[in-house]
Order: sequence, then structure tokens, then C-alpha cells
Amino acid sequence: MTEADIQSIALFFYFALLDDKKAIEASTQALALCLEKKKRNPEIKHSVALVSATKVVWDRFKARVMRGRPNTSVESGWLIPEGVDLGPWREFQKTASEDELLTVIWSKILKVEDDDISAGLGITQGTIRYRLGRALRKLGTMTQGVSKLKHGTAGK
Amino acid sequence: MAQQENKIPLSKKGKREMSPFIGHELLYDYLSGILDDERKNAVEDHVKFSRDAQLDLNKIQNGEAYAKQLADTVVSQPIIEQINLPSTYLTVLMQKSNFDRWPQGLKWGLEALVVVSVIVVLLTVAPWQKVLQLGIGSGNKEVILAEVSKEGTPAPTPSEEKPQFVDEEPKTAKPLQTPQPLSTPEISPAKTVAAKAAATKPVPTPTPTPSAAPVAKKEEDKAEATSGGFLYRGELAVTNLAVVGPKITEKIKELGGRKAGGVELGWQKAPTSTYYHFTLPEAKYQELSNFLGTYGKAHLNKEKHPRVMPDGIIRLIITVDEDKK
Repeated sequence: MTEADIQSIALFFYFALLDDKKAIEASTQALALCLEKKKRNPEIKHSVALVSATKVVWDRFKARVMRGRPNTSVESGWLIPEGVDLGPWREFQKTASEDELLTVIWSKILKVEDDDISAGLGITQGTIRYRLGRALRKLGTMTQGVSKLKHGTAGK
Repeated sequence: MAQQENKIPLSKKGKREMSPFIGHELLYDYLSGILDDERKNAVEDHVKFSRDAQLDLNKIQNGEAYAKQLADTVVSQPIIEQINLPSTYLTVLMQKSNFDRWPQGLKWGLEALVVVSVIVVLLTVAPWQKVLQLGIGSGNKEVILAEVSKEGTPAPTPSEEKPQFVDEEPKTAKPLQTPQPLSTPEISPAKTVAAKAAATKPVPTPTPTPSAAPVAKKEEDKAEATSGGFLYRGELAVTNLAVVGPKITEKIKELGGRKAGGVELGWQKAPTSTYYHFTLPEAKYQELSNFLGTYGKAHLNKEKHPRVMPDGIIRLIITVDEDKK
């Protein structure tokens, strides 16, 4: 596994859990699982193994994390791009369904191909695209809502 | 016709009509650019006349743009290193056993069992005797001010057995009772004065044992008032002490005398002086006096002493000096 793969795993759990410490813990487990998968099946693509491993570890951690109660800090080492507000994402993480949340992270943040996501999860590409459409619509709503609140145009 | 059927799936009526619902759901595919031209045109027509479709298209675009921004998030090197650390045996064990998925009650029970086991082992293995001894030892109220170690022994230690009596210097107190006149040559007044002066002069005592001396003194002081014993103390000046001394010793032993102090009979106190501290059957006293009188003028005084001797036994301290004349 390359450093880029480790970074992808870390980002996945950071955005999925919004919890600094648990993200590191989950990433460690996911990395170990990913390596195990690669060892068992050397032919498997990195991205497919990554999707599969992160999904398994997410299932373990999702019960331990209260969505909508982020536990992150600026000094913790996750460098969010300057000028980007995490507010819409926090709202999205709280309200979106599990499938939507994870699909957006894999596809739009980690830039994993739809084929690999579907291979990793064992579902069709059409399902992936359908989830993405719904998820992006929600996320767009969040960004507009936050933008409106920020600029004082809400309810006008 | 056959080619068209293979290319685009048709509806039952042979048409590819698109309902608003389908148009709505195809918005993301439309933005992704994966629709064929016919579908693309259909979606565009739908968006053109549907306000909701326009809004949704805008939302999807915004969402995609926002996600693209988030994708630029960077994970710092320390976090990557932390994730990349090799797993410990414990973490691997936890993963393998799916500890996270265990019921909460079972987890707590297991943790309680581990804690109880540790406490039991600690209570069993810990050396409580030593701990208690340490605790008691630290609370000891005895204070040692100084420790004195006895180096060497007094010079004259001829006998190992503990002396029954303590050697002492002659007391200056006046005798209560003058001894019976000895059958010795007459004493001149000048010699009597000299002898008295000698009696008052402090004589260095043979070194008594350090522990016994204070005890004996204490006993003496304590019992002085109530004592009823006596001590015969005397001096004798002889010519040729080196020859006479052993004879006196021999005579005392012959009469049944036994050393009473810490030193042997006839101890060489000084080059010209020997010391006799002994017990003697009272019946032999007169005979001893006569014997001593043959060598010189003996001055024997009966002094009061706290120590009471057994019936028929007396105690004597006699110093025999070389006659200076």
C-alpha cells in the first residue's frame, strides 16, 4: 500500500466519522484489513480492496459514533483547504443515509472509480450512480442552506 | 431495424419516452456525460421546462463542487505514521476476536473478571509479612543516642570468670572499729602518722570492668544507709617485695583465701606495690595477721561496707609496698 492509499483511508474515516481519534483507530484497522485482502488475493485492485476494507471497518465503528456530534479540532493534523467550511459536510454527515454518505466519500473525495466501488461493495454501477445523484443533491442543498444562513438570506 | 433494437432498448410501444420522474433521476448521469445523445436531449428538454429539475441540477453541481474542494484535504505526516505503525499483538487479538462486536454486558463482565483476577493474584503473591514488619519497624519508638563499642580489655585479665567483688581504692573514712592489736613489733608514732597519710592518699584502683563499676557504686550508695557488712583494709611495708609477695600469696591460699576482685592475688599494681583483694575464713584472720607481722608492720582496719559477707567469711584488701627505708 502506498502513502496515497493510507491517506485515502484516513480521509475516508475522517469524513465518515468526523472524529479525530476514532478516524485514526479505524484507519489503522482498515489498513491492516486492506493488506490482508491484498495478501489473500494479489490480483485485487488497490481501490477495490480499499473500498471493501473501509466498508467492513465502517460497519464496526458506525455504532460507536454518534453522527451529528463531531469531535474534531483544527490542531489535530487534518488540513482542510483554506476557505472551505465544514458546516455543510457536518450537516450532510448527520442527515444523509449511510449509503449516500459513503458513496460520496469514495467517489467524489477519494476519487475512486464507480466500477471499483461497485466491485468492492458487490453492487451494480447503476446503484452507485443513483446513490451519488441523491447524495450530491442533498449535499448541494446543505451548501446552499449554509450559504443562505451565512449571507442572511434565509427565509426571504 | 435490428441494429436500432440492439443499440437502444425500446419501450413496449416502440418508443423511448421519458417521464419527468425519469428525467429527474437522470440528472446526475446527464451531468456526468454518460447519456447517449437522444437521452441527453430528452433530459435537456425536461430541465428546460421543469423548475424543480433546474434547482436539482444546480444542487448537484454545488454538491459536486463542494466535494471537490473537500478532496483537497491533506492528512499530516504524523497521522499517516501513526496509522502506518505495526499493529500490536493486543490490537490484532481484538480484531481477530471481533471484540468490538461483543455484547456490552459480556465486555464489562470480562473486564471485571480481569480486574478481580489481578487483585487476587496481587493479594496472594505480595509478601504481606515483610510489609507488616516494615510498617511496625518504622513505628519503633526506641532511640539510640550513641553506640559504644568496647575496644580491648583491661590490662590485667588473668581470670575469665566474672569477679564477685569490685576492686576499690581504700576509703578515707575513719574506721568504726580498730582492729585487734597485732602481735607485731611496736609501732613508732612517726610511722603511724606516715601510715595514716598514706591511707588518706588516693590510690589508683585497678581498672574495674566498665559495666560493673557504676552498678557496684550505685549499689553501694543505695545500700550505704542500710548496710551492715564490713571490709578489712590494710597496708604493709616489706623489704624485698619480689620475694615476700609470692610468699604472702601462697600463705593466703594456704589459709583458704580466694581472690575477690577482678585481679589475681598479688597483682603488681605498681613496680613497688602489690595488691591483694580476697575472702578468707574469719577463723584464719588472726593467723594471717601474725604471718604478715613477720614481714613488717601491718595496718588493718575494719571498715563499714554495704556488702554483707556470709557468716564466717571476711573480705580483705591489702596493699603490700616495698619499704622505702
